[in-house]
Amino acid sequence: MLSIDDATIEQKIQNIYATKAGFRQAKDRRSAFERVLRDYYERLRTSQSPSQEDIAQSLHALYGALNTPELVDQQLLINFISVITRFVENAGVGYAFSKAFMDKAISVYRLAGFSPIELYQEKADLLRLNQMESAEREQALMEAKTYAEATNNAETLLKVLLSCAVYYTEVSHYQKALQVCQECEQLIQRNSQLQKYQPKLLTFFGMNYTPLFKYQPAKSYLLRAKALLDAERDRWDEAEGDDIWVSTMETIHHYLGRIAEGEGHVEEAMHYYIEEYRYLQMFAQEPRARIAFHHLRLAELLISASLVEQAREHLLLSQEIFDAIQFSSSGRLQVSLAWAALYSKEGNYVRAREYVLDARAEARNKHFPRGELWCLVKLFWLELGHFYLYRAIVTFIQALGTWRHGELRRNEGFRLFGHYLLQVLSIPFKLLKRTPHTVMGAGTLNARLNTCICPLHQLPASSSKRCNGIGVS
Amino acid sequence: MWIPILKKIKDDISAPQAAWIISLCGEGGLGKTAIAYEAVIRYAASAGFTRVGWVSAKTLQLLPDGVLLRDGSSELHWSNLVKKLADQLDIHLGDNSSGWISDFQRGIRSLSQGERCLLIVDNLETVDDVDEAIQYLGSNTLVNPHKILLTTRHALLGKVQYLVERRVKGLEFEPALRFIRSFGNNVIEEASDDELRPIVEVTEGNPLLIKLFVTRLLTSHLPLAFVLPELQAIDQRLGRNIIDYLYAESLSILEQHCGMDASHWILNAFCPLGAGDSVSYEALRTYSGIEDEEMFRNTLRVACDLSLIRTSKLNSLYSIHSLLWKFVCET
Repeated sequence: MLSIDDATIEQKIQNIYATKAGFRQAKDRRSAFERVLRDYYERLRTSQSPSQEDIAQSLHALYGALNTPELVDQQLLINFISVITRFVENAGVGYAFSKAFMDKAISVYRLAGFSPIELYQEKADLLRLNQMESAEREQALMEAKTYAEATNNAETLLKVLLSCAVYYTEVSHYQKALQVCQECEQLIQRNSQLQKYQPKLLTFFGMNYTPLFKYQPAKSYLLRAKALLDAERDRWDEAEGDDIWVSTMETIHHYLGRIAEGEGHVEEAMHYYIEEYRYLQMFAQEPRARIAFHHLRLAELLISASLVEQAREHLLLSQEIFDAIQFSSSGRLQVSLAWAALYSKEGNYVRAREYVLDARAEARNKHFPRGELWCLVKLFWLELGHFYLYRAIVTFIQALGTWRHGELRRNEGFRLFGHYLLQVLSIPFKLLKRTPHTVMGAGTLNARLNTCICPLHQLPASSSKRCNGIGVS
Repeated sequence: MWIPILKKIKDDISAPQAAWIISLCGEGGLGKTAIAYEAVIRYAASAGFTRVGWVSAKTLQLLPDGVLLRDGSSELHWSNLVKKLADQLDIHLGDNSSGWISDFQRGIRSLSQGERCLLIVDNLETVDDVDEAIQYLGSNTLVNPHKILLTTRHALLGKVQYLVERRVKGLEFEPALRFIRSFGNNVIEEASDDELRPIVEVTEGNPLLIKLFVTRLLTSHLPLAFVLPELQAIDQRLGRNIIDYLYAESLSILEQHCGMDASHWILNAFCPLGAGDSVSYEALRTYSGIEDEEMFRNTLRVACDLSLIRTSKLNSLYSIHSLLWKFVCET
């Protein structure tokens, strides 16, 4: 064997570092990142619904580029971010990944001198996937608002304010949401070019009156919004505008459905939900979270009408989508509650109770006060329905406890409680009068629904299997 | 190739008590997955396991730093893994996916007395992964008479209850020689055991290192008596980072054969992708930016001959080992 002197070895070791440095040269890396990003960008830009794998790989490449933004042409990077954010929620690539990606993107935008308003809004939207109420989510919206106010652009500010209203609605601060809506109303009055946002704003008013049980004003706002949108259909011809038109219409029908359901008109509610589905199919990109919620609402309606098997199918579809997009916020919790209701209908008290308790624990973890109260209401009726009176009383007291720290505290607790009590106490009279009537959390009385009229259940039996993924790809 | 460790695993999985969780741990390139697979094929049935479930816990969108995807979605991730296991083990889970983990634990506990399950969880990349595996598979309540076989790069002894750890080391001398000779080259086949011994010693029997070294030996056409002392001397200086030397040498050869630009471009094309991710021929060509197809093909061929680029699925996909990705791409 040959012997090797120290100098040669040292030279060899230096060669390792030199080779490593040679392969890590910025110019080679920059070209590779640009080519990969451009390729993904073109694929995403021209694709209506790219595969989950495509999106995940794109995010990976983008994340690498964001770590070293100097390696990539800034405009390409920003274009790429705009395209990819449309798909992040659908991708199911993991909340932590997406959030870190968004933070990086914001910092790159700022460094490049672009306004990060939209990214802050996207971030707030994204945070929703994991936790309804969070200081970080509100903070992101406040940052967006600060930037928007600085632009002196009324439309930009209005868009941010509408996002804030959505946030307050989602975290059950309906009064705060209504205040923001009033701010928006004044802004629109001062700026006539913002009239096109009027239907959306009216919808928001309707959305916030609904959970306060103010069904009449809610319905009135929603129907006014619908009338405006119907009259202006032709004006919404651009791609972006069309999506706003479609999503507002979808929301209107969703809430009209919820109100009808709340009033005990299950058949009417079903019609609204089916109409809602028609709009869901018009989105340029498949709105998977909305579709999941749609199936969930249908399932709940069918459970209340004791159409358990059809409900099960919708619930499974809803669950599959929530799982696929890793929607870990209130969606999965609501699915758990719906399973509980379904098992309760089937007489499986043990499993139903287990699911409600799990859901309640999750609601607490997710800081979702409405969810927690909802679980307790469900649990109360479950215990009462199975004659566990002591447990029912304990649950009732726990529900009242949310007065101190939860849902009842933030929204006219007395009025809400009073309204609910009235719903309960009027049951005997409504039963006698055979009036359709819903007691939230307990069920619907005197209402008939014979079958699900959704496209899935209206197909012949032989083809319904094939179409099981209706609206779900 | 791995008879001694296979025997130990056989004893572990056959033992009627203790060793409920068996961990195969060792660094990359040692063949942990292959050993686990071999052990299951050979011994699971004779050890009395009536049901076997195998999942890879490798996070799909694992980043180079492996950290970002850990938070937030672990429950969903494990919920899906548990579903896959349950399907293989024929354990019924409820409709509600939020309850799958507890359904699984309940389902496995309620199997009849004669039923024993062997759960293999492969590619647990981090200690957190292992903690989650234990948490979600419900270690204390699940084990006995069932067993869990894990593969991981991390030592777990003392951190997890009921665990026996089997450290996967390099190949023993004889199997390593067989592996070296399996490359099917006359020079290697005719070499005596003693001549090849230093290769086994310096690579410590790590199959990946052996492969890189033998490939370098064959493609450089330099005498073993010249290449080996160099490797030994550098091994003394670099220790575990000897793989950097082997990669650097192979990359130098690639540069000599194909030119610096083409070599840099083809390997940098993997950097925007995840470590270990595959690309198609067309995508690799686009990402490398090598316009001359002949030049691209030649560079690709040489890189494959040097074991720098790996092929899979009938040469339709190309990838690089995660350790080479680190060498070339990590900043």
